[in-house]
Amino acid sequence: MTDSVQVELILRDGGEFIPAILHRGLRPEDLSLIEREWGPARNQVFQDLLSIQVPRSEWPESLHWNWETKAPQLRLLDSKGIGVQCEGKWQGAALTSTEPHVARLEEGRKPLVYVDYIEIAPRNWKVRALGQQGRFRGVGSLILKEIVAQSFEQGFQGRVGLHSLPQSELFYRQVCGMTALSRERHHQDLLYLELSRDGARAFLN
Amino acid sequence: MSQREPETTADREWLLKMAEAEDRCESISVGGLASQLGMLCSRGDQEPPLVFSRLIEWTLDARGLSVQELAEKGKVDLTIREGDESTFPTCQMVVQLARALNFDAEKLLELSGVVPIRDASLSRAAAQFTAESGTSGEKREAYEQLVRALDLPPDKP
Repeated sequence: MTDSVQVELILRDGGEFIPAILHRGLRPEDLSLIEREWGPARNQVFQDLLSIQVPRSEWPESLHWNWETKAPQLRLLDSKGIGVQCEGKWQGAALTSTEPHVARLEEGRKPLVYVDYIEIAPRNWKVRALGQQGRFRGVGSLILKEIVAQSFEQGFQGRVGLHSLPQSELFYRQVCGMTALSRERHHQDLLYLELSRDGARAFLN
Repeated sequence: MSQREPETTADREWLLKMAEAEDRCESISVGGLASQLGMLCSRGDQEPPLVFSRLIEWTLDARGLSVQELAEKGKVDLTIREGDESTFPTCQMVVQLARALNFDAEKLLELSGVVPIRDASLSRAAAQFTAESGTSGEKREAYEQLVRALDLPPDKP
Protein backbone atom coordinates (compact mmCIF):
# COMPACT_ATOMS: atom_id res chain seq x y z
CA MET A 1 0.00 0.00 0.00
CA THR A 2 1.40 3.40 -0.85
CA ASP A 3 -1.31 5.85 0.09
CA SER A 4 -4.59 5.79 1.95
CA VAL A 5 -7.21 8.30 3.04
CA GLN A 6 -10.11 8.26 5.43
CA VAL A 7 -13.58 8.15 3.87
CA GLU A 8 -17.04 7.04 5.00
CA LEU A 9 -19.55 4.40 3.97
CA ILE A 10 -23.23 4.20 4.85
CA LEU A 11 -24.41 1.32 6.98
CA ARG A 12 -27.61 0.06 5.35
CA ASP A 13 -29.10 -0.94 8.65
CA GLY A 14 -29.72 2.40 10.40
CA GLY A 15 -28.05 4.71 7.86
CA GLU A 16 -25.07 5.58 10.06
CA PHE A 17 -21.89 6.95 8.39
CA ILE A 18 -19.05 4.57 9.24
CA PRO A 19 -15.34 5.49 8.89
CA ALA A 20 -13.56 3.57 6.14
CA ILE A 21 -10.13 3.65 4.51
CA LEU A 22 -9.60 4.15 0.81
CA HIS A 23 -6.28 2.63 -0.32
CA ARG A 24 -4.77 4.02 -3.49
CA GLY A 25 -1.77 1.80 -3.94
CA LEU A 26 -3.30 -1.62 -4.55
CA ARG A 27 -1.40 -3.83 -6.98
CA PRO A 28 -3.27 -6.12 -9.41
CA GLU A 29 -1.93 -9.20 -7.59
CA ASP A 30 -3.56 -7.93 -4.37
CA LEU A 31 -6.88 -9.00 -5.88
CA SER A 32 -5.95 -12.61 -5.22
CA LEU A 33 -5.52 -11.74 -1.52
CA ILE A 34 -8.88 -9.95 -1.48
CA GLU A 35 -10.38 -13.03 -3.13
CA ARG A 36 -9.40 -15.13 -0.12
CA GLU A 37 -11.70 -12.90 1.92
CA TRP A 38 -14.49 -12.75 -0.68
CA GLY A 39 -14.35 -16.36 -1.95
CA PRO A 40 -16.26 -18.01 0.93
CA ALA A 41 -19.02 -15.37 0.71
CA ARG A 42 -19.30 -15.90 -3.08
CA ASN A 43 -19.60 -19.64 -2.52
CA GLN A 44 -22.28 -19.13 0.11
CA VAL A 45 -24.37 -16.99 -2.26
CA PHE A 46 -23.81 -19.59 -5.01
CA GLN A 47 -24.99 -22.44 -2.77
CA ASP A 48 -28.00 -20.47 -1.53
CA LEU A 49 -29.07 -19.63 -5.09
CA LEU A 50 -28.66 -23.25 -6.15
CA SER A 51 -30.57 -24.58 -3.19
CA ILE A 52 -33.68 -22.58 -4.06
CA GLN A 53 -33.18 -23.08 -7.83
CA VAL A 54 -32.92 -19.42 -8.78
CA PRO A 55 -32.56 -19.16 -12.58
CA ARG A 56 -29.03 -18.42 -13.68
CA SER A 57 -30.16 -15.19 -15.36
CA GLU A 58 -30.83 -13.80 -11.87
CA TRP A 59 -27.44 -14.67 -10.40
CA PRO A 60 -24.97 -11.82 -9.80
CA GLU A 61 -22.83 -11.77 -12.92
CA SER A 62 -19.56 -11.76 -11.01
CA LEU A 63 -20.63 -14.65 -8.78
CA HIS A 64 -18.15 -17.09 -10.30
CA TRP A 65 -15.14 -14.75 -10.48
CA ASN A 66 -12.11 -16.11 -8.71
CA TRP A 67 -9.08 -13.83 -8.81
CA GLU A 68 -6.93 -16.31 -6.91
CA THR A 69 -6.83 -18.57 -9.96
CA LYS A 70 -5.67 -15.61 -12.07
CA ALA A 71 -2.73 -14.62 -9.87
CA PRO A 72 -0.04 -15.30 -12.54
CA GLN A 73 -1.82 -13.12 -15.11
CA LEU A 74 -2.51 -10.38 -12.54
CA ARG A 75 1.21 -10.10 -11.79
CA LEU A 76 1.83 -9.14 -15.43
CA LEU A 77 -0.69 -6.30 -15.52
CA ASP A 78 0.34 -2.69 -15.57
CA SER A 79 -2.69 -1.39 -13.66
CA LYS A 80 -3.20 0.61 -10.50
CA GLY A 81 -5.64 -0.37 -7.83
CA ILE A 82 -8.04 1.18 -5.36
CA GLY A 83 -9.57 -0.64 -2.42
CA VAL A 84 -11.97 0.37 0.33
CA GLN A 85 -11.67 -1.20 3.77
CA CYS A 86 -14.21 -0.88 6.54
CA GLU A 87 -14.59 -2.90 9.74
CA GLY A 88 -11.22 -4.45 8.82
CA LYS A 89 -12.62 -6.00 5.64
CA TRP A 90 -12.39 -5.19 1.94
CA GLN A 91 -15.69 -3.65 0.81
CA GLY A 92 -14.83 -2.93 -2.81
CA ALA A 93 -11.92 -2.74 -5.23
CA ALA A 94 -10.99 -1.41 -8.66
CA LEU A 95 -8.11 -1.53 -11.14
CA THR A 96 -7.39 1.20 -13.66
CA SER A 97 -4.89 1.85 -16.45
CA THR A 98 -4.18 4.63 -18.88
CA GLU A 99 -2.13 3.19 -21.78
CA PRO A 100 -3.11 2.40 -24.52
CA HIS A 101 -6.62 3.73 -24.00
CA VAL A 102 -7.83 6.99 -25.52
CA ALA A 103 -11.15 8.81 -25.42
CA ARG A 104 -13.60 8.04 -28.20
CA LEU A 105 -16.15 10.69 -27.30
CA GLU A 106 -13.78 13.53 -28.15
CA GLU A 107 -11.64 14.17 -31.19
CA GLY A 108 -7.87 14.13 -30.92
CA ARG A 109 -7.13 10.83 -29.13
CA LYS A 110 -7.30 12.43 -25.68
CA PRO A 111 -6.06 10.27 -22.80
CA LEU A 112 -8.42 8.83 -20.21
CA VAL A 113 -8.46 6.54 -17.21
CA TYR A 114 -9.68 3.11 -18.30
CA VAL A 115 -11.36 1.04 -15.60
CA ASP A 116 -10.25 -2.58 -15.96
CA TYR A 117 -12.26 -3.79 -13.03
CA ILE A 118 -14.65 -2.72 -10.28
CA GLU A 119 -16.39 -5.02 -7.89
CA ILE A 120 -17.92 -4.72 -4.46
CA ALA A 121 -17.62 -7.36 -1.75
CA PRO A 122 -20.23 -10.13 -1.90
CA ARG A 123 -21.45 -9.04 1.55
CA ASN A 124 -22.52 -5.74 -0.04
CA TRP A 125 -24.36 -7.32 -3.00
CA LYS A 126 -28.06 -6.92 -3.34
CA VAL A 127 -29.36 -10.40 -4.18
CA ARG A 128 -33.10 -10.02 -4.51
CA ALA A 129 -33.81 -13.75 -4.77
CA LEU A 130 -32.16 -14.28 -1.38
CA GLY A 131 -33.52 -11.15 0.26
CA GLN A 132 -29.92 -9.95 0.73
CA GLN A 133 -29.62 -6.16 0.80
CA GLY A 134 -25.90 -5.68 1.37
CA ARG A 135 -24.20 -4.33 4.49
CA PHE A 136 -22.79 -1.04 3.19
CA ARG A 137 -24.23 1.42 0.69
CA GLY A 138 -22.40 3.69 -1.71
CA VAL A 139 -19.25 1.61 -2.14
CA GLY A 140 -19.37 1.65 -5.96
CA SER A 141 -20.04 5.40 -6.12
CA LEU A 142 -17.17 6.10 -3.74
CA ILE A 143 -14.76 4.06 -5.85
CA LEU A 144 -15.86 5.71 -9.09
CA LYS A 145 -15.55 9.14 -7.46
CA GLU A 146 -11.92 8.35 -6.66
CA ILE A 147 -11.30 7.19 -10.24
CA VAL A 148 -12.77 10.42 -11.64
CA ALA A 149 -10.65 12.40 -9.17
CA GLN A 150 -7.54 10.54 -10.37
CA SER A 151 -8.45 11.39 -13.96
CA PHE A 152 -8.50 15.09 -12.99
CA GLU A 153 -5.22 14.73 -11.05
CA GLN A 154 -3.55 13.21 -14.11
CA GLY A 155 -4.74 16.05 -16.32
CA PHE A 156 -7.32 13.90 -18.15
CA GLN A 157 -10.15 16.27 -17.16
CA GLY A 158 -12.27 13.55 -15.62
CA ARG A 159 -12.42 11.35 -18.72
CA VAL A 160 -13.07 7.70 -17.81
CA GLY A 161 -13.90 4.65 -19.95
CA LEU A 162 -15.02 1.15 -19.01
CA HIS A 163 -16.73 -2.06 -20.15
CA SER A 164 -19.79 -2.67 -18.00
CA LEU A 165 -21.32 -6.03 -17.15
CA PRO A 166 -24.93 -6.15 -18.42
CA GLN A 167 -26.43 -5.94 -14.91
CA SER A 168 -24.41 -2.76 -14.24
CA GLU A 169 -25.23 -0.81 -17.40
CA LEU A 170 -28.07 1.09 -15.72
CA PHE A 171 -25.68 2.36 -13.03
CA TYR A 172 -23.10 3.70 -15.45
CA ARG A 173 -25.60 5.15 -17.92
CA GLN A 174 -28.18 6.68 -15.64
CA VAL A 175 -26.51 7.19 -12.28
CA CYS A 176 -23.03 8.15 -13.49
CA GLY A 177 -24.12 9.84 -16.72
CA MET A 178 -21.71 7.88 -18.93
CA THR A 179 -22.30 7.68 -22.67
CA ALA A 180 -22.80 4.19 -24.14
CA LEU A 181 -20.66 3.86 -27.26
CA SER A 182 -20.60 0.27 -28.52
CA ARG A 183 -20.91 -3.39 -27.70
CA GLU A 184 -17.62 -5.01 -28.45
CA ARG A 185 -17.11 -8.53 -29.72
CA HIS A 186 -13.53 -8.68 -28.43
CA HIS A 187 -14.98 -8.01 -24.96
CA GLN A 188 -17.73 -10.63 -25.26
CA ASP A 189 -20.29 -8.02 -26.25
CA LEU A 190 -19.85 -5.95 -23.10
CA LEU A 191 -21.00 -2.35 -23.48
CA TYR A 192 -18.23 0.27 -23.63
CA LEU A 193 -19.12 3.57 -21.94
CA GLU A 194 -17.28 6.82 -21.43
CA LEU A 195 -17.53 9.70 -19.03
CA SER A 196 -16.85 13.03 -20.74
CA ARG A 197 -15.28 16.13 -19.18
CA ASP A 198 -18.72 17.66 -18.64
CA GLY A 199 -20.10 14.35 -17.43
CA ALA A 200 -17.31 14.09 -14.87
CA ARG A 201 -18.10 17.50 -13.40
CA ALA A 202 -21.79 16.64 -13.23
CA PHE A 203 -21.00 13.30 -11.57
CA LEU A 204 -19.00 14.95 -8.80
CA ASN A 205 -21.71 17.51 -8.02
CA MET B 1 -2.39 7.58 6.11
CA SER B 2 -2.63 10.91 4.26
CA GLN B 3 -4.25 13.79 6.02
CA ARG B 4 -7.48 14.80 4.40
CA GLU B 5 -10.24 17.07 5.53
CA PRO B 6 -12.93 15.23 7.47
CA GLU B 7 -15.98 14.32 5.45
CA THR B 8 -18.10 17.42 5.03
CA THR B 9 -21.85 17.71 4.93
CA ALA B 10 -21.56 18.06 1.15
CA ASP B 11 -19.56 14.82 0.94
CA ARG B 12 -22.18 13.01 2.98
CA GLU B 13 -25.04 14.46 0.96
CA TRP B 14 -23.32 13.40 -2.27
CA LEU B 15 -22.72 9.87 -0.97
CA LEU B 16 -26.29 9.55 0.27
CA LYS B 17 -27.68 10.74 -3.06
CA MET B 18 -25.44 8.32 -4.96
CA ALA B 19 -26.17 5.43 -2.62
CA GLU B 20 -29.88 5.89 -3.21
CA ALA B 21 -29.34 5.84 -6.97
CA GLU B 22 -26.97 2.87 -6.65
CA ASP B 23 -29.66 1.00 -4.72
CA ARG B 24 -31.93 1.19 -7.74
CA CYS B 25 -29.34 -0.67 -9.83
CA GLU B 26 -28.56 -4.34 -9.74
CA SER B 27 -24.77 -4.17 -9.75
CA ILE B 28 -21.79 -1.92 -10.39
CA SER B 29 -19.33 -4.53 -11.69
CA VAL B 30 -16.95 -3.66 -14.50
CA GLY B 31 -15.85 -6.56 -16.68
CA GLY B 32 -13.05 -5.46 -19.05
CA LEU B 33 -10.35 -7.39 -17.23
CA ALA B 34 -12.62 -10.37 -16.56
CA SER B 35 -13.42 -10.66 -20.26
CA GLN B 36 -9.73 -10.33 -21.14
CA LEU B 37 -8.91 -13.20 -18.76
CA GLY B 38 -11.81 -15.38 -19.95
CA MET B 39 -13.78 -15.11 -16.70
CA LEU B 40 -17.18 -14.12 -18.07
CA CYS B 41 -19.97 -16.66 -18.00
CA SER B 42 -20.63 -18.77 -21.06
CA ARG B 43 -23.56 -17.58 -23.10
CA GLY B 44 -26.52 -19.76 -23.91
CA ASP B 45 -25.88 -19.62 -27.64
CA GLN B 46 -22.56 -21.40 -27.39
CA GLU B 47 -21.88 -25.10 -27.56
CA PRO B 48 -21.37 -26.86 -24.25
CA PRO B 49 -17.81 -28.01 -23.71
CA LEU B 50 -16.89 -31.34 -25.26
CA VAL B 51 -15.86 -32.63 -21.86
CA PHE B 52 -19.43 -32.43 -20.55
CA SER B 53 -21.12 -34.43 -23.29
CA ARG B 54 -18.26 -36.94 -23.36
CA LEU B 55 -18.44 -37.38 -19.58
CA ILE B 56 -22.18 -38.12 -19.72
CA GLU B 57 -21.64 -40.66 -22.53
CA TRP B 58 -18.84 -42.45 -20.68
CA THR B 59 -20.80 -42.43 -17.40
CA LEU B 60 -23.89 -43.91 -19.03
CA ASP B 61 -21.68 -46.58 -20.58
CA ALA B 62 -19.85 -47.31 -17.30
CA ARG B 63 -23.09 -47.60 -15.32
CA GLY B 64 -25.03 -49.45 -18.03
CA LEU B 65 -27.69 -46.74 -18.28
CA SER B 66 -29.56 -45.51 -21.34
CA VAL B 67 -30.34 -41.83 -21.92
CA GLN B 68 -33.99 -42.58 -21.16
CA GLU B 69 -33.11 -44.29 -17.88
CA LEU B 70 -30.95 -41.33 -16.89
CA ALA B 71 -33.78 -38.95 -17.76
CA GLU B 72 -36.18 -40.95 -15.58
CA LYS B 73 -33.71 -41.29 -12.71
CA GLY B 74 -32.91 -37.59 -12.70
CA LYS B 75 -36.48 -36.51 -13.56
CA VAL B 76 -34.90 -34.41 -16.27
CA ASP B 77 -36.10 -33.80 -19.81
CA LEU B 78 -33.20 -34.67 -22.10
CA THR B 79 -35.12 -34.62 -25.37
CA ILE B 80 -33.92 -32.20 -28.01
CA ARG B 81 -36.87 -30.48 -29.61
CA GLU B 82 -37.01 -29.91 -33.31
CA GLY B 83 -36.04 -26.38 -34.18
CA ASP B 84 -34.35 -25.86 -30.80
CA GLU B 85 -30.80 -25.24 -31.84
CA SER B 86 -29.52 -24.47 -28.40
CA THR B 87 -27.81 -27.52 -26.97
CA PHE B 88 -26.48 -25.66 -23.95
CA PRO B 89 -27.65 -27.33 -20.72
CA THR B 90 -29.61 -25.24 -18.30
CA CYS B 91 -28.53 -24.81 -14.71
CA GLN B 92 -31.52 -26.81 -13.52
CA MET B 93 -30.78 -29.65 -15.95
CA VAL B 94 -27.17 -29.89 -14.78
CA VAL B 95 -28.19 -29.92 -11.12
CA GLN B 96 -30.70 -32.70 -11.81
CA LEU B 97 -28.09 -34.69 -13.74
CA ALA B 98 -25.65 -34.25 -10.88
CA ARG B 99 -28.20 -35.64 -8.43
CA ALA B 100 -28.99 -38.60 -10.69
CA LEU B 101 -25.31 -39.46 -11.19
CA ASN B 102 -24.28 -38.62 -7.62
CA PHE B 103 -21.86 -35.93 -8.78
CA ASP B 104 -21.08 -32.65 -7.03
CA ALA B 105 -23.55 -30.17 -8.58
CA GLU B 106 -21.25 -27.17 -8.32
CA LYS B 107 -18.40 -28.98 -10.05
CA LEU B 108 -20.69 -30.37 -12.76
CA LEU B 109 -21.98 -26.84 -13.39
CA GLU B 110 -18.38 -25.76 -13.92
CA LEU B 111 -17.69 -28.66 -16.25
CA SER B 112 -20.88 -28.04 -18.24
CA GLY B 113 -19.80 -24.49 -19.05
CA VAL B 114 -22.77 -22.98 -17.18
CA VAL B 115 -20.19 -21.28 -14.98
CA PRO B 116 -16.45 -21.08 -15.64
CA ILE B 117 -14.21 -23.63 -13.97
CA ARG B 118 -12.91 -22.35 -10.61
CA ASP B 119 -11.36 -25.59 -9.38
CA ALA B 120 -7.82 -26.06 -10.75
CA SER B 121 -7.74 -29.83 -10.15
CA LEU B 122 -11.05 -30.22 -11.99
CA SER B 123 -9.67 -28.18 -14.86
CA ARG B 124 -6.60 -30.45 -15.10
CA ALA B 125 -8.71 -33.62 -14.95
CA ALA B 126 -11.04 -32.26 -17.67
CA ALA B 127 -8.10 -31.38 -19.91
CA GLN B 128 -6.63 -34.88 -19.54
CA PHE B 129 -9.97 -36.51 -20.25
CA THR B 130 -10.48 -34.57 -23.49
CA ALA B 131 -6.87 -34.97 -24.70
CA GLU B 132 -6.90 -36.55 -28.16
CA SER B 133 -3.80 -38.68 -27.62
CA GLY B 134 -3.39 -41.62 -25.28
CA THR B 135 -4.13 -45.33 -25.18
CA SER B 136 -7.57 -46.61 -24.28
CA GLY B 137 -6.17 -47.53 -20.83
CA GLU B 138 -4.92 -43.97 -20.34
CA LYS B 139 -8.30 -42.60 -21.43
CA ARG B 140 -10.07 -44.89 -18.98
CA GLU B 141 -7.71 -43.68 -16.22
CA ALA B 142 -8.38 -40.03 -17.19
CA TYR B 143 -12.14 -40.69 -17.03
CA GLU B 144 -11.86 -42.28 -13.60
CA GLN B 145 -9.75 -39.38 -12.37
CA LEU B 146 -12.38 -36.92 -13.60
CA VAL B 147 -15.15 -38.90 -11.91
CA ARG B 148 -13.17 -38.86 -8.65
CA ALA B 149 -12.89 -35.06 -8.97
CA LEU B 150 -16.68 -34.87 -9.41
CA ASP B 151 -17.69 -37.38 -6.75
CA LEU B 152 -19.68 -36.05 -3.83
CA PRO B 153 -17.62 -35.93 -0.65
CA PRO B 154 -19.07 -38.13 2.13
CA ASP B 155 -20.20 -35.10 4.16
CA LYS B 156 -22.08 -33.57 1.23
CA PRO B 157 -25.00 -35.86 0.43
